[in-house]
Amino acid sequence: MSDKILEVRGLYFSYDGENVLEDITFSLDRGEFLGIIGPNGSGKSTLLKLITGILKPDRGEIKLYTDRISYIPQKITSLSYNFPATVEEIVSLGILSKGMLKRISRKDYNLIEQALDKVGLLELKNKRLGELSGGQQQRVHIARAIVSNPELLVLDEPTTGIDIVNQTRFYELLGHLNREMGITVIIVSHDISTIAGEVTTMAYLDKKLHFIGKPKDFFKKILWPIELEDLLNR
Amino acid sequence: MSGIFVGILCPIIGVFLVLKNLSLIADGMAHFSFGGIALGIVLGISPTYMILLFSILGGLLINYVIRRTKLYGDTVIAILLSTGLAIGITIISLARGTNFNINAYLFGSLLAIDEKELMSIILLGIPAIILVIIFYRPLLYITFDEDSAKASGLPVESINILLVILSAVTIAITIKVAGILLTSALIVIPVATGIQISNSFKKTLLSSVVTGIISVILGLIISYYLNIAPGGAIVLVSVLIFLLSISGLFDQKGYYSKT
Repeated sequence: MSDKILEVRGLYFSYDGENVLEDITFSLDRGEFLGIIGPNGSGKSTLLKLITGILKPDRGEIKLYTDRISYIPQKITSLSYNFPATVEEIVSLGILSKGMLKRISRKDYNLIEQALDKVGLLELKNKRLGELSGGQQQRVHIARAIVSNPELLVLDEPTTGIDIVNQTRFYELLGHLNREMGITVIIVSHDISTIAGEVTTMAYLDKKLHFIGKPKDFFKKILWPIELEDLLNR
Repeated sequence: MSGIFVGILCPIIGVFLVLKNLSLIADGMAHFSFGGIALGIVLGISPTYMILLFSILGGLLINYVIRRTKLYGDTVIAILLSTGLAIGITIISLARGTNFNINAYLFGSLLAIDEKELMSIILLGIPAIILVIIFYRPLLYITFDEDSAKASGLPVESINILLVILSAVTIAITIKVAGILLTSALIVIPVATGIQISNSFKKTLLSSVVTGIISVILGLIISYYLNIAPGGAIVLVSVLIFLLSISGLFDQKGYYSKT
């Protein structure tokens, strides 16, 4: 019997009376690396917000078998660009998940340093966030997300606006966290090629969940017909 | 004494409002409370408590309407702000003949603060400062990114309401000194200076408070010797410090110090 971390059943969600998600049903085992792709406006970000509890579903249910969740929203780097805080201060926010009003202890500082070390930014910990490059800022958010030792890491289009070399490094880092630390990862991306190498499960979402399964089956069953359809529509 | 309180309290609340892109909410709440002041005077209730009540009400309304409609924050604030003013003006014109000094509330007046009022300022202000210290990190998290904070299990809505209440307390105290029209200046301008010259959040907070206190003290001295309204003098001093901070005098890149 497999060890589930997430179960979604018959999930519906709408904005202004229009369905964004219809009848989404799937489950995810611990230790998986799920990549969700789909066109713009296909409900990918909404699905992540429902899973993380930021939004409440209209219908259906979401069962999470962990409360240690970290979320990195879309466009976080542009949102936080001017925020007057150091790298270390941003990462320390992640400690909050352990207790809202707890002061930061010496042990926590060690955890912060370990997290920064893991993403290779330890020597930049006293820099203001805005002084870092986009790729570095993205890794700051990863450090913030892993400092609380999460079981589930949820990322929404994390590499938008980052060059291809840093994108590849970023996905390697995620793959490392997934395999070495056993963190279950759910990532939304519009870029199939960059995530395909690291993910263990692939999903194609466009209002409905059209496919979920192994990446190699995905390429066989889904990708080709989609491209064909694109060509025919042109 | 109450001036220094304002110098400390305004920036430590302001830093969260400014970074949440809610600089104008304090202005909205202060203007909305004008309705409360008018009502309080007519009904014979102490305006301090009416300001508190109305700014909490105004802040919560703004918070609620922003979340429930498709409108931008500044639109909602503009509507609430004028509603409060309109209520106030209507009540005052209806109660023509009642003898009260509305100028003290519009422009602020330190001399009008008696011992009883100083007590209420202390009773409101100290708990507010303590609450900010206790909730410092959750406040910082929801200011940085509400969605991430919510995903990690923080009660974001409750913390937002706490911030609104703390802002209302700050406004109720500040109106005494700076008046309705300039209250938001004291909440926003020292913070803008702090953001400009600091590279960490702690330094931002600290330099905002220092700027706030300097502005209040210098402003009060100037207003005393030139016999001008304290609110105007305090705000002008804070604007001057802000101009210095963006003039590049500190550092070409705008950061005060690089550690």
